[in-house]
Parts: sequence; C-alpha cells; structure tokens
Amino acid sequence: MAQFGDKYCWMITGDPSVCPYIGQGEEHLFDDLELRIREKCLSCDELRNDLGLYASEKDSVFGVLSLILDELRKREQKLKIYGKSLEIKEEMFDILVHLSTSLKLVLDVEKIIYKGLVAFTVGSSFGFNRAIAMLSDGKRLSGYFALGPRDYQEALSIWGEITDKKLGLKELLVFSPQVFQKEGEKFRDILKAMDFDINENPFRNVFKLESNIRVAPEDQVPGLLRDFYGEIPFWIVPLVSHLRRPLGVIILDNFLTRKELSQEESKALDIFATEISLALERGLSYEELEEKVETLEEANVKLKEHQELITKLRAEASIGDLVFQLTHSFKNPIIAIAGLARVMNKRISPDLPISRHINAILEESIKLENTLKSFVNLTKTKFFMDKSQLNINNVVELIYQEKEKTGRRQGITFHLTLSEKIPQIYANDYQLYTCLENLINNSIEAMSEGGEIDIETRSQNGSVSVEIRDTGPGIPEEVMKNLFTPFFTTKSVGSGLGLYTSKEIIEKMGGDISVSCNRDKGCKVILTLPVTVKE
Amino acid sequence: MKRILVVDDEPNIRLLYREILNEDGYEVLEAESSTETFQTLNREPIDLVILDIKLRSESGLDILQRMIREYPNTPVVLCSAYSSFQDDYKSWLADSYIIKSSDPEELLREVRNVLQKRGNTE
Repeated sequence: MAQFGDKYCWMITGDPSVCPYIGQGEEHLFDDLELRIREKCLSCDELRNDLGLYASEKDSVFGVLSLILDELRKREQKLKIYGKSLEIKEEMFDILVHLSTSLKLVLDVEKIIYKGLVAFTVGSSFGFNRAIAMLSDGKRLSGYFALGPRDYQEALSIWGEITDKKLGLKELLVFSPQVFQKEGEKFRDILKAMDFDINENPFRNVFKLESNIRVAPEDQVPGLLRDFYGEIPFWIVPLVSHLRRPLGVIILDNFLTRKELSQEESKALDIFATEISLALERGLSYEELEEKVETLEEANVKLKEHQELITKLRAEASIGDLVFQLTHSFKNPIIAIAGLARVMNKRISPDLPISRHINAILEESIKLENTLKSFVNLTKTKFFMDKSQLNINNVVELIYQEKEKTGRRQGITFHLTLSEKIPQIYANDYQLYTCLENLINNSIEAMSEGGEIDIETRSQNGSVSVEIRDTGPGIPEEVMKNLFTPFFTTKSVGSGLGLYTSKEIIEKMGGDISVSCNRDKGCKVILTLPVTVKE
Repeated sequence: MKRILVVDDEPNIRLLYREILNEDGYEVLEAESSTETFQTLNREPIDLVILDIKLRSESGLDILQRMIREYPNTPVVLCSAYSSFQDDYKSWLADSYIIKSSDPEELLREVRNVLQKRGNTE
C-alpha cells in the first residue's frame, strides 16, 4: 500500500522508507519530489493502482490521469526501442565508415577480405559469430579465409580478449598477418574442402538476386555446407563487380548466439558487401595487373636474352662467312701452286738446277697451305666450340620464332611447349642452334603440303631434351637404316637429312639424337643432352 | 681408259687435276660451269665427275642434284676447299667427297674407290 496515513508515497519527502525503488546513489530523489515523480513514479505500478482506485469514482479527474499515464508509458516504451535501433544504426554506420576508410587504400586481396570479415563479426550490430569468404575464378567458388571461433569455449576466450584489451573497431580493422595466418590455419580443413560450382544453388540464386539470402536448416544446399552448419541458419552474401561479375561470397552465421537478422540489418548487409566488393574488384584487378607487369618484365628479360643470343649468333655467322670466303679464295691458288709444283718436281730430273727452285716453291706453298689449315681450325675452335651456360629453351624459342614464319607460308602450324624449370646446360649455342635448325628444317621440308610440328622441351634425370614431332610422310624403311650414315648412295632420295652432322655434334657434347618414324604418321626426333656444368 | 670430267671454275685447279689424273691413267675432260657440265654429259659417256662444291656463280650442289635426277648412274666425287660443306645435307648425296689439297693421294684414292664400287654394283 502506497498510502502513509493520509498521504501517499509520492507526496512524502525526506523519508527513505516510502519508496523501495530508489537505489544507491539516487538518495537525492527522497527530497526532490518533482524529479522522483518524473524518474520513478511514472513507471511505478503502485501509482498506477492508486490512480485506478480513484478513477472508479464518478467524474474523477483520476480517470483521465490514468489514461494519460498509460499513453505516456507506451510512448516511453517505443522511444526505448527507437533508441536501441538508432544505437544499432549508429554503430553500423560507424563500422561502415571505418571499413570504407580502412579499405580505401588497400589493394591486397588478403587484407580486403580480412577487413571485410572483421566488419561483419565485430560489435553488436551484425556481430556475426563466424564469417567465411570464398573467392571465384569465374567458374568455381573456393574457400579463401574464415574468421571466428569454432566452438563455444573459443568464443568465450576471443570475446573476452576483445573486451579485456578494450579493442576498438579501428584497432580490430588493422590487418594482422598473425591473425590472418592463425585463423586460416584453424579453418584450413573447411576452406580446403569448400569448392563449389558457381552455378550450383544456392550460389546461383545469390548472384542472380545480387542480394544476401538466409539459408534455413530445411533448405537444399550442397552436402558440405549442410554438414558444416547443421541445424543453424546462415546467410550468404554475394560479392559482385560493378559489371556484375561474381567475385565471391561471404557466409555468415550465429552458431552460438542464434541471433536472427532484422530486415534493416539484412539491407545493411548488402551495403557492406558493396563496399567490400568494390575494394575486392580493385584488389583483384591490381593483382592481375601486377601479374601482367611481371609477365611483361619476364618477357622483356627474355627478349633481351634473345637479342643477345641473336647478335652473338649473327656475329659468329658473319665471322664464319668471312673465314669461309677467305679460305676459299686463298686455298685454291695455294693448292694450284703447290700441286703443280709437285707435278713439275716429279717430272724433272733432280740434277737440273731449276729443280731446287721448284722445290722451294713447293715447300713454301705447302707451308702456306698448312698455315691456312691451322687458321681455319683455330677460328672454328674459337667461334664454334666455345661453350657457355645456356638455357636450351632460349635456343629453341629463337629457332621457333625464325621457323614459324617459314612454316606458316607452307601451311605448317607450330606448337611450342617449353618446360618451365629446365636446368642450364654447358654447350656451344651456335652448334646447338645449327643442329636444332637442321632437324626442324627436315620436318619442314618433309611437309610441303602443310601439317603440324610440335616442339617440346623437357628435363629428366640429369638431362634435357628437345622433341620434334611432325605429321609428315615419315621416312621409308630403307632410308631409315642409313639415316646416320653419311654419303649413303641411295640417290633416289629426293632430299637427304641433315641428321648425320647434327648427331655427330650432339654426340660430341655427350648427348644423342634418336629418330622414330611411322609411315604416313610422321617422324619423332628426340635430341637429348646431359646437364653439365663448366668444369 | 676411264673418262673423268673435272668441274671447277679455277683453270689452274683443273690443270692440276688433269695432270694428277692423267698420270694415273685416266682420260680427263674439263667443264667450268653447269652448262658445260651437262653439255659434256650429253655428248659423251663419262665414268666419274669430280665436282667443286662452289663455282663462281653457281652452287656445285645444284649441279649434283640435277645430276642425280638426270645421270643417276654417274658417280660424283665432291670436292671443296673447306671441310664444313658436309653440314649441308645435300652434299651427302654424292658418292664421295674430298677436301682440296695439293697432295694428290686422297683424290686418287677416292676416285679409285668410287669407280671400283660402281663397277662392282653395275
């Protein structure tokens, strides 16, 4: 009973016993009647009862007062709800602003996804318990990163840590490589297992709607998702580019708190996703660009290597030409002089005085002949025997570029497959070039009607090899037997094969050339060289 | 007496070969170009051709290829001033080859060998 003598509790000041609702620290309300009425009495059921008692009296003003009080309470209730909603919205807005600022300058996909997942799991607005990101390559969706606890125990410790350290949104949004690695490791099994067709539902649906969907426990989803989420609902949020290309999805759940999402929160989810998508698209484009730049740089290095090789081979070839010309123009006269001197020497009597002169001519011209011979050998050794560490891919690619043009005119299509990690060999590039060119020329010549040539480099067990396959007519059996015999006399052969020289050169390098042919199905030539290093 | 046609654009080399071959008992005819070579081959029977791989304006290998088509039974000994001519696979179609030298031994040996081989197979 709120009645004390002839007074009611809301009329009495200075007496702590009249109101049990005034707590510690609110003692001032015992004296401040007006404030007490505002803060305590308005929500006090006893006051409402008292007013009710008087309201039953006919024509009492208390009836009106009761109504006013009820209305006042309803409004207050509403206000509280609005207030809470406003608080949540404010927090969401705050997260969104922070996320947006934090993503502004980030190009690293790892960081973007990390920040995105933090934004979805932090605070009380969304505050999802867990978030998993999958990225798309246009065809598949594969697990990329996940954040959150895996069980209740872990949740308590994580959330406790965040509270203890008083970590704010700003701190939480800073990318931590350690956390990224730890979380990735924790979810490794599920991330690895997650691999879905992008056209599989519910993903197909999500990308079509371009909006998040809630997947209920009874909905049809791939077995893996159902196994992982069991009886709890989860939300799939699509990440799409500005041209509506699927970039990935984020899957969110509240496996511990079981919190549901309001309509407004669901809308906000999509706004967050847009922000993350924008950054992700930028990040992915940047990654792609970086890869392209890298490829371009590699191509540049390769081009430079090729140019150097071409210059070297050209220089060697022109020196070779010079030696060739010089030898020819010197050798013929010397041979004629020496040879004829021999003839004369044989024919005249050694007693004749002129015999001595002829002998002198003979001796001197033989000396010249020998000098010329050693000069030729020297230049040959110098330019065509010098070895260096080289990548056979470079030589093959160079020939390919040269021959591809010739082949195309003849209706021949080339296919080049270069082994990526091929060890270097120690060899003479000019000789190697000549051999390979020889072999490819054979294939080209064998296919006057067009066809295909496959060139492939490989490395295995301490050796590297180049395989040349053509779709030419093959080699007749009788020619096959004499393939490596120089000057075989089968004159019916329209054109021979430069195999002998090539084989000789390659064998000198410790390698081998093998040929296998199928009549009408073409030839396969394999050149193998040991991986040697400079002694 | 076997008849040998020496194809070389250097008259002094032809003279040298003529001297060497005559001494060994061969009859020698000379040609300094492709035209002269085939004129001679058309005109009279030749037992062997000694062919320089590099004539002034023609390739001895072209002559060799034409010979293989038109005179498949006439053996050819290719000769060259340099040893690298073997790099050209076309040169392998010849019956034999020599590298030019003032020493007549190799030339005479190869001529004898080729004639003997051809004589046996015919």
